[in-house]
Amino acid sequence: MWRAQRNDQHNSVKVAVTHIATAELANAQVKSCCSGKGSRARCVVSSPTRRADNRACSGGSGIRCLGASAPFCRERRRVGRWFVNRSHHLCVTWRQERMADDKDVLRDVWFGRIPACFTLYQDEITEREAEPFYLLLPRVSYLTLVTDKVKKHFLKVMKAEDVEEMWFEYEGTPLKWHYPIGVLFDLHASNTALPWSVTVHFKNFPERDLLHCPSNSVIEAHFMSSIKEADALKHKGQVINDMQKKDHKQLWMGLQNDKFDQFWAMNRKLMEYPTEEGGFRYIPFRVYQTTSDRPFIQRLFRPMSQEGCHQTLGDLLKEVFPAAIPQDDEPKRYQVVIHGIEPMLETPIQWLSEHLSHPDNFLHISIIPSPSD
Amino acid sequence: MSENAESPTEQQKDETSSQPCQSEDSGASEEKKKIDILLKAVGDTPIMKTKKWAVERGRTVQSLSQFISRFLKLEPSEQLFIYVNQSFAPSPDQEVGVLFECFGSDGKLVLHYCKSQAWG
Repeated sequence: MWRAQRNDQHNSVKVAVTHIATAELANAQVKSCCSGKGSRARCVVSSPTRRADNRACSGGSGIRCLGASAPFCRERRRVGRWFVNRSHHLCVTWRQERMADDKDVLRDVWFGRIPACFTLYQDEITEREAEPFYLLLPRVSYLTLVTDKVKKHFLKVMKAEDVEEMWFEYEGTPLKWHYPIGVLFDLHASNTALPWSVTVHFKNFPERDLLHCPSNSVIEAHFMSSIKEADALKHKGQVINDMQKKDHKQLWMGLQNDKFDQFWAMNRKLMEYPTEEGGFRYIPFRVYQTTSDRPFIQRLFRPMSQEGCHQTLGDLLKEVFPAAIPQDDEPKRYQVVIHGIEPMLETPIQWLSEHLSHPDNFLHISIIPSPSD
Repeated sequence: MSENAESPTEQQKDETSSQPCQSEDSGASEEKKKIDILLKAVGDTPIMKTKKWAVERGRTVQSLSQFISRFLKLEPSEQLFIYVNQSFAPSPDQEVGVLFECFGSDGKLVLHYCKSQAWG
């Protein structure tokens, strides 16, 4: 059922809440991925049956298997294995011919969906009662790009004079449309029940918190600027600058129309690097946290250490947010979440950058406090 | 980049303290909080007599852009675009400190500003 909905453009299907449980089951959460040293790629998929209420359904990232081939396994595909342990983890051993291709990871990231329920803010003036509106939100897209139907739905019950620019809020926090949807969800609503309950406003635009979004061309400009910034870090901007206007358009149209193949036919060029260098010049990444006033952390970080080793997610965090690395003698304080999953800290950052980056070519990492129970 | 060579720091007196201060000598104590930004006009956008400014790291691109607009006495209807590396427009809520870390060179961040979309 989940797959069937994926085929609808933007998945603007109304989902009954009862269906979501089914979706959760189809979206076993990958707890970790890709062993660091390349001895074998390892995936641990947590069984969703036990924890269908929270993490297991964390917004339907839909990722089945990560790290099927990290960069170092590219030439020689290794035999990896999944395994079952006592805490309901699932185990599969795969052979060369069965091994999931990395392209599947890209596909699963692209088609990750978050079931959301949009409700009109209580103080908005309506002519009759506003029903909530259900929508499957693409994780990699932007709120203002995929909510035309939400707007239409609520405008039906409102007078034109009561309507100003639409904006969204979750539990008192205005949602920044210029962050990818998946980042907003991971950052503000991880570990909460689905569907994600988003409040819709048509008045009192929070100027201090949000950017205006008068049209899709604003989203396009923001998206293309992010790609250019990322490429400035990865290739000194050479790849994006060598592309033609129509190539840029292809990237945007791919995102706007949810066309995976169209987008990736062009985006793969942005993911190339000289083999001898082992990765990009710098990794375009942003680290978000709810506990800070700063929008995000972004620094120069090379994928290879000076000794020529692959730097890992853990190495990056050690540099920019050491508190996120669990200490042996104390309980885990933070979850490090990308696309709704917690990748193993041993995962090479280059591999993450190539496979778990958003279409804007940044690796968006959310650091959230561990749930207390 | 030969462009980086031009930037005699000029005096700017009549600015209030809430605005970026003209960058003369960024002392060691200031160094951590403030960064040097070199502002360059593109096309027919008016130039600023003072090009080099010391700006707090936490200041956003938006607030810098508002400052430039006021400085140039632009009409409220006139837009101002800011570019890094002459290629991309950073998000308005981006901190200039982040841009400095990632795209600064020779101890300063070069930003181009323009009244129309110059790149991309």
